[in-house]
Amino acid sequence: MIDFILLAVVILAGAAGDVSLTRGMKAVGEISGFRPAILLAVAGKVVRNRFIWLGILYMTVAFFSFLALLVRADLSWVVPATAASYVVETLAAKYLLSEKVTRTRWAGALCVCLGVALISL
Amino acid sequence: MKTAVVLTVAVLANSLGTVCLSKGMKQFGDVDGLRGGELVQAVFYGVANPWVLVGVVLLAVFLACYMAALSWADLSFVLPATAPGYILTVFFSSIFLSETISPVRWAGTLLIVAGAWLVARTYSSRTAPEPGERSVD
Repeated sequence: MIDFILLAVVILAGAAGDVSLTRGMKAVGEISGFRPAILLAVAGKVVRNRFIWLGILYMTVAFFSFLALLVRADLSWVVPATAASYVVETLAAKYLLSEKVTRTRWAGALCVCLGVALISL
Repeated sequence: MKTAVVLTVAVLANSLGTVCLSKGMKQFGDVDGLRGGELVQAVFYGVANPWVLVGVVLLAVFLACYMAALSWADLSFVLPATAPGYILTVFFSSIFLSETISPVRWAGTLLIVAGAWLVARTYSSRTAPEPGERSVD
């Protein structure tokens, strides 16, 4: 039970982190190269973006929950089980964002559900 | 091509990173029943464990590649493209952590990857430049 609660925190905080980081990095703009001068300029923009910091905060919560989960459970369960995020995202797309969710996507989400059930046996 | 290289490095760093984290956290002791305060204690222990630190460095490499990719590709492309990483992590768990992977767990893992791929298929792939944008590769 504790494992599944920790898993839920890892997934929800991770998803919130992804959304925030994406929004932040889109604002920063495409990284046009890997020369030090370019990277320095990018780093300057990154640290001044509030969505990046919010994303990092969410990611930190997800990370420490992940560590706690690893103390208790096998890595070969923990990592595939985090794929339940695909199910959460599909449900969020349908019921929070009122997006049109195709049959293929429902089938995929169902596959992930069955897979998580199987690895949890 | 740039996307493929960056995402391959990301997947490898992520899998090896989580293996290191797991190795470090399990050194806390025999801990299947840990809960509450003990779990918090274990996490504080983990922050100073060398394996966990190596894992964090590898995950930093992952995060750098991931964020770079997100600057030119959509999350709805990047996320599914890294899905086969689950197989790699389970494989590494078996090799480096001596975890016994039952056939049922392998079957579940493959179902998860297939499911992730199916969900991915419904996203429109947008590594191609938007109209008016310059090419990335």
